[in-house]
Amino acid sequence: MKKYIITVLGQDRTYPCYEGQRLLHAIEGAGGDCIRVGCREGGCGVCRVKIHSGEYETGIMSKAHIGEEEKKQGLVLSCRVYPKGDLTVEPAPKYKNRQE
Amino acid sequence: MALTGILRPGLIQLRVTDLEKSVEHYVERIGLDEVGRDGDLVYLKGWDEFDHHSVVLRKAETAGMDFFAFKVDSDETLEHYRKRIEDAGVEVIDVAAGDQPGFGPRIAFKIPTGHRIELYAQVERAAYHPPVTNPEIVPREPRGMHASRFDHGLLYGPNVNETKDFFENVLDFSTAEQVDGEDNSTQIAIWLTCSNKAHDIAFVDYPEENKFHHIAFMLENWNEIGQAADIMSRHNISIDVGPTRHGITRGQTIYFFDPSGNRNEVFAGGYQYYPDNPTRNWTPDQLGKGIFYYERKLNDAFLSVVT
Repeated sequence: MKKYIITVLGQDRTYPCYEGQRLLHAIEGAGGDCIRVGCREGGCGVCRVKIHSGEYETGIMSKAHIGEEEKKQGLVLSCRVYPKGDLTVEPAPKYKNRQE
Repeated sequence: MALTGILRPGLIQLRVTDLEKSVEHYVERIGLDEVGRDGDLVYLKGWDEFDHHSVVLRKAETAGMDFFAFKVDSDETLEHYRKRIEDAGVEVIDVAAGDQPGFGPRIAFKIPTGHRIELYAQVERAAYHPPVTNPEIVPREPRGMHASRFDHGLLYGPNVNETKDFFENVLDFSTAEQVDGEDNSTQIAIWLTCSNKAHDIAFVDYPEENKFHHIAFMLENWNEIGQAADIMSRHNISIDVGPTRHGITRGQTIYFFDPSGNRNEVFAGGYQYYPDNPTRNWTPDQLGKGIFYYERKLNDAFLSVVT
């Protein structure tokens, strides 16, 4: 099984991501909490990250959170990212909270 | 009063980003029946519902809810509420009969949280509905989580107090439970009922208008909630929280997500509400216990993850 290494800026550890696994699921599954977990289905937008380097594919993401402009800047919802190589990413949360 | 006037939530339209995966989720996993399609729209109903359909999936580029509609008991009641709503200074938009298959005319209006709410009186009986002569308990073999019906919804938006006032004084709902804000003159969350249920619709204060928190489907008991959890893990459905229990409404629950990120709930139990019951109040320091009674704290997603 192919394994990719995910580096999250600001974290002192890396995360393994196996072929076919999604970025958020790999980090969450390895006990990481550096990316906020929401719906895990591309709809709510809280798990947004900026990809700095590496190959990946994406699934359907709500246009309310990721438009064409964001995509060009490497902004994606990590729950819809399928890594195809080692990745370096940075959390880029888009998050609203009644209490904030 | 007897159960008259506005009867129940009867129709909800959700936006989904992947129509086929969503149909598989709502039909094969949750257990609704598909009753028809029209282009990018799919019409669904629960096995224990008599009306033509209750849930509509609409293919779109964003997730969320288009509208939430209540059934009323007669055409006269529909006209009565049209006048009440207009007298409250709220614009009423007419939706022609047949806009949804099987449905008569509907009236639509915007509430202070920014959501589109609708009322209707007429809807055809579904082709396959629960039997009415020597009725069998299970009209068809159980499928998936075996959800019997669309039960209620929770919506997020601003102006919760104005919304409470509108539902109580214009639409004749009661507030079964509420969570107070910093003082008890304002509320940050309200559970409203037009029936014998602990809630038919609920609202939580949120800075952005017209956000969708969840649609709930009725299951029979704790056993079915447990079986639903088994199905969710079997099919890697994204779970938010549960199985657990709400302090508010006392319902047994799992929150989970559809393939477009809309939150779903399977819900069982809950107390019976009567209109002479007082409103049950929760203080803000007990919000966690009110929402998730066993964990006694909110999870990260409850106040912030919406579509």
